[in-house]
Amino acid sequence: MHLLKTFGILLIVIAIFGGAMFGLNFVTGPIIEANNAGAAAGRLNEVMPGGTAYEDVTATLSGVPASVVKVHKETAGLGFVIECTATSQYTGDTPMDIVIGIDATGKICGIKLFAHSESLIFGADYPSTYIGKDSALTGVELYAGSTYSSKAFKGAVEEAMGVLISNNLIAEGVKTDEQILAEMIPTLHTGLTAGGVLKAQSVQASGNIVEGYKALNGSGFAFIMKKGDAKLLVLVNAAGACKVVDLEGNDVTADNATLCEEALTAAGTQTDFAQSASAMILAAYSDAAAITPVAFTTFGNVVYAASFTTGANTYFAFYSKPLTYDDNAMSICTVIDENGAIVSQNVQQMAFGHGVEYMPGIKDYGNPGAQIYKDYLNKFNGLKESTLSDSVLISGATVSSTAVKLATADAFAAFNSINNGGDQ
Amino acid sequence: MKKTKTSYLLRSTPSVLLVLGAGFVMASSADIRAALGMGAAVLISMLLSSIVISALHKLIPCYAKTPVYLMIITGFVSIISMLMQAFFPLVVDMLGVHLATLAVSAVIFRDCEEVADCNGEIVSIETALVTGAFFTVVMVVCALIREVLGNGSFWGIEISFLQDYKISALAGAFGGYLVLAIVMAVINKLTGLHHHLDENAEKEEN
Repeated sequence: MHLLKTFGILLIVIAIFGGAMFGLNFVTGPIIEANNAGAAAGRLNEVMPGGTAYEDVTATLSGVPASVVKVHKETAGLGFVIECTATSQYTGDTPMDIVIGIDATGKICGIKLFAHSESLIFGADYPSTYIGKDSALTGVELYAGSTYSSKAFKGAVEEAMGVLISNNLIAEGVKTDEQILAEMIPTLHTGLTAGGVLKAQSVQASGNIVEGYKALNGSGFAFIMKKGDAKLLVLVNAAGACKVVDLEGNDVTADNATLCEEALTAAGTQTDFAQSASAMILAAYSDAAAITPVAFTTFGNVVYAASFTTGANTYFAFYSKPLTYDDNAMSICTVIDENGAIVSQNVQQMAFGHGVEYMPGIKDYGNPGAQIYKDYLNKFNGLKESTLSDSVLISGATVSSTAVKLATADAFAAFNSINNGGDQ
Repeated sequence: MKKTKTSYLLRSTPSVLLVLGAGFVMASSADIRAALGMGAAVLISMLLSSIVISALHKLIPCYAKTPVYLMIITGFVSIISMLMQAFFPLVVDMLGVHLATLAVSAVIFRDCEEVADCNGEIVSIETALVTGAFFTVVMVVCALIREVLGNGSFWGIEISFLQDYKISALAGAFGGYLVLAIVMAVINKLTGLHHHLDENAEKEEN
């Protein structure tokens, strides 16, 4: 009886409050729903002027990359809002939270970085440089001092717009000739870049030079030059070799000797690394003789090449200056024998030796007297171009050791250009 | 009756109540808007629950009181939560799960069980109003200190000259308890209520 009474009272209370909440829900339900929709649309409205309601169309699209979280279509046809993420080597716990508004004509009408955990981030006004741009992003530069984060940000924007283009929702923007040629530089002259980011000073335009870039590490120049109505990319390496490519990436050096001459004149007298390179050669081979500069025709981190002899042996030394953290250049001397195998590798100013990048114990790589440092350099001995692998990378110091590996690959390429024989 | 009423009012003062509601104060006093929202939710749910329970307590058998009281409190808290979600969504966002946990809050339950269950509607209403009002005042005082000094803002508006001097720790959980402890100490010092309460309890025992 007690149990029945208890249940009865509880049921009455539940019925009264249940009924009250049921009735109240007719009043508050639509308001709460509108509030929730408004809150979700709030961040979308911030990048879509005039936007009111949105439809999530992500599931209907193909080829959506991992960086694109959601694609919303503004229901009145104003355009699209894309929520996406980006990560760089400076990203902490969470990736950048980016929201991009793209109008119906395919131009960015709003863009905002809502959250990030970057230890080094671009200025608050940087995203606004994207407004008004189409997918070509003409004129959008990376942010000086935060190139990796801004590169990741730009990459996320390109991927986001790429989704709309590949699904025929907006038209693809047309890149300028200068833009197309500038984007070739990291591939064609790796010495002007680090981590795929252009690391160069601008050179003033003059004559046929429309744009010019001087490598921070002294590995050469890249010029965008005009020839009539056409634009060409002219590369100059530290040894004074010149290469001309057209918009399709074809080598047209033979047809453009005049442009090469103008580019070499603009490059002027380049930094002479003979003395510092010779010092590193003599540090490895105290009996080195007949140290003679050798011309090479590759475009990488090698800034000086020389041949020398020790006794009856002839070797080739390649002095490279790859950039690592904070644009610090390392000095690497790779000595290769006539068979194309490394006989000596020496690295100075390693970033992890400066405390810029190291884990416990790794900093000893920067100490020439440390056994761990000697063991690291000895790994290169005997390597040929075909056997150079990731085994020379150091966990915990990947940026620096990757730079050393790339410089070594550049040394092999320069060796091949000298001997014209490829891997032996 | 007078003695009973006085002791209920005294036991409802912040010096006692604060300890029971410390978690809510810590969680909801980083912003003045959140503090007012939580204070209002506590006051209204306590008031309505007390009225209903004091009116019905004779009809509810002893063995069913706890579940029935909990159902009543939960019902009112749910209704208040729905209304706040509709009309004060920003405050609900700030309060998060703490608003829903009011349903099982010892602050409200004790008030209903000890006061409303034993007294008429008038005393219950008085007690609920005093307790809820003190709770709200303490919350707002804590929030005022924490938001202004910890966040360098007031009512969500940034105070520019305080940005370089704000004490961020005050905005966190540690700051919440620290400020609460200071406020408790000040209240006890000013009112001497702890002492008064202890004496009162001793008299009742005798």
